[in-house]
Amino acid sequence: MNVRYPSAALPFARSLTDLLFDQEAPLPRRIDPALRKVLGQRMARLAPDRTNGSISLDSFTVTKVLGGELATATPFTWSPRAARRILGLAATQRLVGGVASTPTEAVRAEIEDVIQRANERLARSGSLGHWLAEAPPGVLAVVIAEAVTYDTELVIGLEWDRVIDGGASLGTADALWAVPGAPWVSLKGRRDLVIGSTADVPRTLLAVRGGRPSTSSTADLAHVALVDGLTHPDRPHAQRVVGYWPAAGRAIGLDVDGETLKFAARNAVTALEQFSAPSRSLHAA
Amino acid sequence: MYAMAPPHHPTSTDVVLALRGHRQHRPSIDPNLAGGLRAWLEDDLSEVARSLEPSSPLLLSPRSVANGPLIAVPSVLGLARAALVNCLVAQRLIFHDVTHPMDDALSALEAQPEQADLVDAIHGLDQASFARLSAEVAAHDEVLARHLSRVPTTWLPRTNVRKSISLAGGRIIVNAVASVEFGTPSITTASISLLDITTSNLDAATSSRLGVIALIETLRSGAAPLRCASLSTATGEIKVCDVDDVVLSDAVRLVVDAARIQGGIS
Repeated sequence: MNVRYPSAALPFARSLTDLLFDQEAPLPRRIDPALRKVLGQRMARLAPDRTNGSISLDSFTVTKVLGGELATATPFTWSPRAARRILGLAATQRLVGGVASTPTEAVRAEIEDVIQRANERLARSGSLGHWLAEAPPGVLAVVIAEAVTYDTELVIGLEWDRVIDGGASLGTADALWAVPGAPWVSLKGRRDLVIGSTADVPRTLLAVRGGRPSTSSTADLAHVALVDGLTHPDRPHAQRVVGYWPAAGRAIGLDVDGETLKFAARNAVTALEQFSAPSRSLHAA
Repeated sequence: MYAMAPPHHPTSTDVVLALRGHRQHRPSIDPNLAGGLRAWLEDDLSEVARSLEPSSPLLLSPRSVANGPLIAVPSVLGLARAALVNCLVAQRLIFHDVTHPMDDALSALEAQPEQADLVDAIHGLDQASFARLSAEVAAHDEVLARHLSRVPTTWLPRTNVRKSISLAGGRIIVNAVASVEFGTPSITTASISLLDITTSNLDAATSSRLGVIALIETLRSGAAPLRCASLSTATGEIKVCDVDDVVLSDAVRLVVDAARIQGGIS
């Protein structure tokens, strides 16, 4: 697989942005319909019984299971950490759109809106808005602080004038591909920024991650490319997925080709096999 | 190199103002410094790296580098106090006000699933210990109130900023968490300020810890920070460190020595 790194000779924000817009990547193609068909068939065959609940395989779950760890069955609950990315991305949108002047203002405005939607009964029960509406000041402060940190790291990590000019979409819903024939099993691609949202423009994805890059990072990025390709069968797959680890100040660009997508598809099948094994009937949230 | 806070009680926001200083007095960034420090570290760590595997790296932190590895597990009360005060740092920065320190901090801790064991331990305390913990948290919060009020949002204050650098091909990892960070990265002038907030007393190793935090930030971002400071919420004492080449090269030596000792070759 072809991995690229940002130039160490340039300021980080410039070199990370260059990695998103670098034109040397191979010409993208559509995802192979045969790969799509075989992947769907194999996953449907491996899918555990529907009564065990739904399974959503994201990069984190796939790389964890491939690394020999058991996926734990923890029911989803809202927490400052669970809310940080949603609020942080929405706040970044406000900042780059010029409707807020600082990350703190942007996050607080976003939280006010989310709570208002919940109060006007525009959000379903159990939503982030309902949780925030009932959160005491101590909880709200930690939620805001976490989102501000996320937002600030994203804002200072890129040259946003170039990103906006490049036609980026920020904070769109994560790509989700339900397995045909077993729709309670799905693949989820967690990415934070999409460049080239129209059919004619090559797609590049940015995935912001915690910690530092590891040996499983290419599998993580390949998974994001696969799910993005599966959910957009009518347009070329992403030409590159860039992983960005703010805590480490590191980034990796993975150029996407047919082999990359096959590698990701094999990983997804192997991960589902682990889920389906009798001794491991555990489900990811 | 190190500027100690004056012995009198610091006035409101002293530590924050000391960290930011005057804009015209900020040093220029040497664009080659981070690369040079990394090359020096990689050279000096090559011997210890031979005995390590990337699958089980040696994990270092500013505390383990400056003070050595922990020789005793901290008490539940100590851990609880640190975690609760950490929640109040966020509240002070965001809302500038805390009405019920223990209640607010405990509710924040309860909302974090990763702290479930600690929350259980706090709820398991007897009445006298719980009351003592509450009183201590309130006392620590008074120090936070003196130092963290009204930080302008234009300084981009952010809390619990995790930092991690990988050395010797992933065989040595140095992690740090900045309690508070201000400023934006600049390619010309040092502008990032880091604040380490501790519920312990400051000690002789505080300056070394600050130097290691500055080194991690330099290697992570490619630019040396402007200043680092440590604030003890136990005593109100502060220590401010102007980051320069000497501070960073001392930190490189400390990291190499710690890696050798903890990696078992010294």
